[in-house]
Amino acid sequence: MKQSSVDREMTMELIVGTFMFMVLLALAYFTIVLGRASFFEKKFPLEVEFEDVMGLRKDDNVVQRGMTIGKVKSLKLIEGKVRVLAMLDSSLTLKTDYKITVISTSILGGRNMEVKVGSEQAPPLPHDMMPQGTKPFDLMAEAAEAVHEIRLSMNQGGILTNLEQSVASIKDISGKISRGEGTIGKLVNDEGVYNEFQSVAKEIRGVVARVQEITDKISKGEGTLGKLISDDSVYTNVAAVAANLKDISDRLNKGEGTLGKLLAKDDQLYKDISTTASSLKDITGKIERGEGLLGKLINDETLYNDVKSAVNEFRTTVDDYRETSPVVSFTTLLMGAF
Amino acid sequence: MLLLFEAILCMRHLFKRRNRVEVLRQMFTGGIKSLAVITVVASFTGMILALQTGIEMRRFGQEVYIGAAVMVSMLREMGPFMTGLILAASVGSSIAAQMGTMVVSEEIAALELMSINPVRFLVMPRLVAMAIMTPFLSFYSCIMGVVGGGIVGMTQLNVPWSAYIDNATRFADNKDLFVGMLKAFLFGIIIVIIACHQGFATTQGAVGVGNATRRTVILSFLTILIVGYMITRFFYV
Repeated sequence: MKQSSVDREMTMELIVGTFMFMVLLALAYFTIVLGRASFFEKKFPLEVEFEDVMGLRKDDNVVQRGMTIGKVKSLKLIEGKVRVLAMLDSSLTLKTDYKITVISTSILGGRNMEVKVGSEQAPPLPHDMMPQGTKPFDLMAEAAEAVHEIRLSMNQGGILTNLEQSVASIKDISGKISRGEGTIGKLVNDEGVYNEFQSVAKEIRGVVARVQEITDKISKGEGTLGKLISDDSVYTNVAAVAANLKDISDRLNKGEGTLGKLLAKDDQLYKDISTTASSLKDITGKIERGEGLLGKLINDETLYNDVKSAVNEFRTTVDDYRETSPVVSFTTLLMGAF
Repeated sequence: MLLLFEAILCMRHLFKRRNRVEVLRQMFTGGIKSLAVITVVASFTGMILALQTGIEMRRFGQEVYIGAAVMVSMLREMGPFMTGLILAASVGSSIAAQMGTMVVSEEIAALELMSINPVRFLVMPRLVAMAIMTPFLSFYSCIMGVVGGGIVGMTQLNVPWSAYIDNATRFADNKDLFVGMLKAFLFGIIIVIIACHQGFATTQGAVGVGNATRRTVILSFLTILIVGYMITRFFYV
């Protein structure tokens, strides 16, 4: 009887002890798991300063290219900045063009610290320099601000008033249209206008048919316009003319020919012409002033009279000679015979 | 409260063999024998939590987070609370009935006549046994609840076990675990003290025993709820 009682007691103790032992084991395991304690892994610290961490918390993940590489260990507010200490699974070498920022994991919340080490060709960040985190992009805050600005502009910028006025105008216009007022109202309501439009459309169809006919002729190469479009010789002639014009303009540019010389930068011809004009002006001036033979001829009456009398005398002399020449000739012949 | 102080004072006799054996017996009776019902209740609590939370979260495509919801709920509230209710209903009522019967059959008076302190002899072993067992049972119920939730997550919501456990352990921490166990510890003490007090205060024979049992369950439930709220407020607000 006593042995049975002892056995029962032992069994009871064994069951209770086993249960307690197992629960204690599970409790220890849970404590380690929930405490996120890692006793055997080496961790690499990374300290980053942020202006704003946007709700980043202890134990949030540190990610690189979408992979979790560590966890946030602590956050401290130091001199107006947030200093975040992260423990990484492996060491990182940050380059000077690194980027560290806080990102949202979902729209329901949750933050990760994202690390971009920088490009390979960039020099490494000096060890004594504390990495600076980029200000995070708060999507919700941006959206809220945008909505706020839209609301402000709607309330204060008069968009609502304009909208109301526009709606009133549209209502007024639609009322006029439904009442058959104005061109569109008549178009909608008046059958006569519709008929007129029908006749206009018929005319337009005729015009279109004529235009079609003309374009057909042009495409066939008929008429001047058709030849212009379809005959290559016109194009060739125009091209030749253009080539000639180009040649002429080239020669002008080179200063060839009289016109070229006139247009040339070298003003020798201009100077020569100018000198000639000056000389002519001088000569005409002298003539005007009655200087020289030509001037006297033109301006001096006496010389004119002298010349006139000399000419008269010369004519008389010639006449005399003409009259006396047969006598002289006969006399000469006669005298010659002796 | 006086009963509690007296029981605490009697703990100096705890390590006497007779008391040790009695404590173990009470741990077995109150704790191990409640394991079956706690397993079922906790598993289904976790399953219901996972299903209800998962159905709502699936609207947003976030059903993978049910692990976090189940784990945090079970550790902080549901584990200790469900364990407390089960123990109040089973062990508390049993203690009250036992004490009440001993009172009405004058066994308590006989103990006093033999100079045996009934508090030391009857209350202290039960108090120690429940103070130890309730936190462990609460933790056990949490595990069962999380496992139940995980099964629902895998079978009903297509949440992989690894993702479920990853989220469950990511969002809960040791504070949740130990605050929950503190609650359970206090619930164990509350159940025993109320049950013993109601049992010792039994009058009017068998009817009185029934009344004492009923009052024990009601008072234990109410006290567990109020104390649970107070502890949550103290640690989380």
